[in-house]
Amino acid sequence: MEFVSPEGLRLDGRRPMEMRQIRAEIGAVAKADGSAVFEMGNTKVIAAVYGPREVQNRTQQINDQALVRCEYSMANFSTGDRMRKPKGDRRSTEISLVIRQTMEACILTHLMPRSQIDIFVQVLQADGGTRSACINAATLALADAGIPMRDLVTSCSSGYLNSTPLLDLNYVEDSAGGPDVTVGFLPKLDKVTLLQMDSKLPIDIFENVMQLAIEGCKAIANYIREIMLENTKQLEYRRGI
Amino acid sequence: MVENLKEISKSKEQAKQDQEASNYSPLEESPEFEDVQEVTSSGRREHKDEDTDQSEEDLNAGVNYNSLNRSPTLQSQQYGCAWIELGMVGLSLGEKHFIQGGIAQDIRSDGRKRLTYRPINVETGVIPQANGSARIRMGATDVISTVKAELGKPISLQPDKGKVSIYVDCSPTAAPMFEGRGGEELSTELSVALQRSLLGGKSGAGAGIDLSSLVVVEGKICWDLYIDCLVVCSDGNLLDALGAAIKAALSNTGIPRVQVAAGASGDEQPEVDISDEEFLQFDTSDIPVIVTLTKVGRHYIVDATTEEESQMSSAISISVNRKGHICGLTKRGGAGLDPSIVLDMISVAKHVSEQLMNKLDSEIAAAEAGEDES
Repeated sequence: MEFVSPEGLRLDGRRPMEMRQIRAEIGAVAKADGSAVFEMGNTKVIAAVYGPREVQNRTQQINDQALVRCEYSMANFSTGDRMRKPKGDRRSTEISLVIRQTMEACILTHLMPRSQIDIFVQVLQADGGTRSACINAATLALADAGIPMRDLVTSCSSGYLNSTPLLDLNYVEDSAGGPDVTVGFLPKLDKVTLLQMDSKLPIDIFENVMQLAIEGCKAIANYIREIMLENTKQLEYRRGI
Repeated sequence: MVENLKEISKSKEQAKQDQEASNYSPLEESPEFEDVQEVTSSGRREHKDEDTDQSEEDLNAGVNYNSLNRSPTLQSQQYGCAWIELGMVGLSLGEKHFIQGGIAQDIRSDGRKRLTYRPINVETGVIPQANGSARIRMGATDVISTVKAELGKPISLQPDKGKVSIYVDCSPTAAPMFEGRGGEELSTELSVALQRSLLGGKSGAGAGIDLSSLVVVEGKICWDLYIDCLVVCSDGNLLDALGAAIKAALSNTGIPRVQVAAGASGDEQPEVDISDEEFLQFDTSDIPVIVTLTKVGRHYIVDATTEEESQMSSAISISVNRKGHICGLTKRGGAGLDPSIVLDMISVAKHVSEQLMNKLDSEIAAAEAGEDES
């Protein structure tokens, strides 16, 4: 199947190095301590953060740092074909784990010993790149909750189809079976915290593809920063400062 | 308007704190506290419902409820109802009295009267991959409902009727306790209550949705409607919000027109052609709205918040259609109700439902118009 046309356009009309339209909104869940919606094209996720609060299960308490927990869930209506999946299947457990590890790496957990931070991400629409969208939403929600972090983590994926590196794969491109590189990145510290790839790729091409994903992460970080600045300005305005 | 409300809540919070200071702290410090707790920790709940005069003894009893409420096992034994577990909001005695007192005086913590709803915000077409969808926000309560239509086969007992099923999912974003399988109990309870309220009896009689309109070829092909709801944020009154969201989602739903190929006969399954362009709209005027009356003390309120729900003795959810007929009824909560009160509540619900129905219709129409423009 042809994923990049001779004119250099992808199936949804993007250029190979072009990202889908992104949109973010802070404060989607009124009752949570911090929450955000993040959209990448047709992928839409909600993240909610509860905490830092008392550890619910005492046996899990850590005496010198905060306990970070994460749950990823997909709504029944999120995919094209309706399906009723049991909670806690292998895929969502794996993604929960990935998100938890990525976020834990950037939260300053040692500042909040004997407490617990819950991150819940809910996929409303899935069109490829839910992992990345979830991490981006979780970053915004954590920032909204005022939880101290080393840096914003942002995530983006890239792939390699028809001998062309492609940024931000959608569902059709993702299911084509080509390599899919997901990168989590700390833009200020200039460090990679998450790196996953399936399928196979020559090393020199891998470098390009990963670099492309990192550029995507940087673009998302800029956008997230703008959204947060806008939100802070609004808060300031409402307080009448 | 919003600022006014904030002012009210601010002054109320002040009052709350004052009350707390006068009621709560001396009791907590009293040395007999623990003894009293052990003596009265059983069989006091019924007592609370009838008594509204607050004697010293009653206050002590109140403290015991407080400690009871903190223990989840005791609590679920008492109510056997998942709704209440949402209400573990950790209110102080002062706050409880404040909520109860406010309801008795017809001015609630957020400035509403007993029979006033929070502002309802309707958005339609929020989930593009579904046949119809809507998101309803009532205060902090936020639910999404979607309708998906699939072609299926009618069951042999009712060859002239389609199938509709309702599933509710409680997202852990709404409350940390819904994590893992924690939301399942509430999800099931809500699904069953919604089915009872909206879909009528087992035979499909009295359903808000005309099931015979879903049939394509009698006995062979019909539409199966899957209504999936997601609770994104919960601040009380989930059932009313879900009922409204389903109504809005159904009026947003377009069912593709189906062309049946002629010539299929006998037991053969006829071939069908699903149109991409022509859609049939549903008639949603018969779909009832659900009104939940929550009884706190001697009075009942509509659209209770989580805090108010934690103070309820019992609640009745009544679904009423446009003609004023009652389509379904669910009672929950531990305390019993006098039959005459039930009848009284039904007539109040009927009255409230008219306003809610009109409000909802205009909001849905506005949302649809807004969607067409954009």
